[in-house]
Amino acid sequence: MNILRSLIIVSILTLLVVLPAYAEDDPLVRLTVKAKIKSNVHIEWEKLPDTDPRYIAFAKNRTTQSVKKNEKCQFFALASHCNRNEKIILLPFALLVKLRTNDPTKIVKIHVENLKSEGGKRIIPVEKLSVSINGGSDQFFIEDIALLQQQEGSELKELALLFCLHTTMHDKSGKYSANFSFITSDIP
Amino acid sequence: MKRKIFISILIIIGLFLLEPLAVAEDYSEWKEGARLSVTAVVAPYTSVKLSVNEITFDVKGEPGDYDANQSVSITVGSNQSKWSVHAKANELIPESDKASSLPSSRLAFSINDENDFKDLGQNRLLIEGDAATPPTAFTLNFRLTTEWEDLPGTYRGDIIFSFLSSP
Repeated sequence: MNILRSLIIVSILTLLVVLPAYAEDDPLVRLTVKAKIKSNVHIEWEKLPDTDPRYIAFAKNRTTQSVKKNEKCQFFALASHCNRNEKIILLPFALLVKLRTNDPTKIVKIHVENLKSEGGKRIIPVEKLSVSINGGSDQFFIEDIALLQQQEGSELKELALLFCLHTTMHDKSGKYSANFSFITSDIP
Repeated sequence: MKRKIFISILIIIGLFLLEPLAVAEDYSEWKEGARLSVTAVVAPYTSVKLSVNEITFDVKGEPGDYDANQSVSITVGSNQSKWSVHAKANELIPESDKASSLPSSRLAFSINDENDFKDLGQNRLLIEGDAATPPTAFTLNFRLTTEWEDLPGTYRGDIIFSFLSSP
């Protein structure tokens, strides 16, 4: 009986040893894979009218922020007066911008051209326009304003942009319009 | 007269001489003189052929699924009783030091234009057959999934096809 049991064990062990030996790994075949990933920037934007609840919320938030900073000017309605000469107009729309890139060398800026009256006879320089990003302090368009800085690309960045126009008595009333554009560039 | 007798005798003698030759044509009475041993060795034969050596993914848009620039035809022939071909990818290494590797699980394949892609992060069975299976070409389609975290640049790697057989 013991001999039979030993024979069975030996047989099993032999099978375990022999079976892999029958499997034969032939020389491997290689397929080279090359992936070329290009730089990409995702820019998605939505224009919110002043009737949009999100715009109203952004405007309220901006007013609160301004009060906290003890600014002389307070914004809530479309316009308010700071002093005799200056009138600040909160533009009746906001931009909701979503940005993302796979390229840390990319920066995204917003570029605005001078505001032109209907017919293009009168111009309000873009330097009189400011933007508040996510309720932050006003930044004037003395130059293009960065929305996406270097090294912050891969996460989706959502920005709410509110614009204010700082006019004076010299700026005549009327309808003005300007082109907004998003520009991307590599870090020099 | 003598001449005729002489010819007749010659004919009779000739018949006697021919008789042993006729007997000798009966092979059953032949005896073995020497033996030549013939051995034929049929070696295990396996052929795995790919139609191309390299595939390229051109990722020009936003991250997502990108198909390779071309499909790959694989033809397997073998006289082994049972065989199978497996594939596994290695990670794609960036040429730039700043970027991270693309994991092998981001590479996937499908056979014969099916839309069921399986990732190559682990060893995958592609084809199996036996000695009676004639060499048949299969079409492999490859796909790479990219993410926003993948920096621009060129990445290189490979897919290893291994052949497993039982004689």
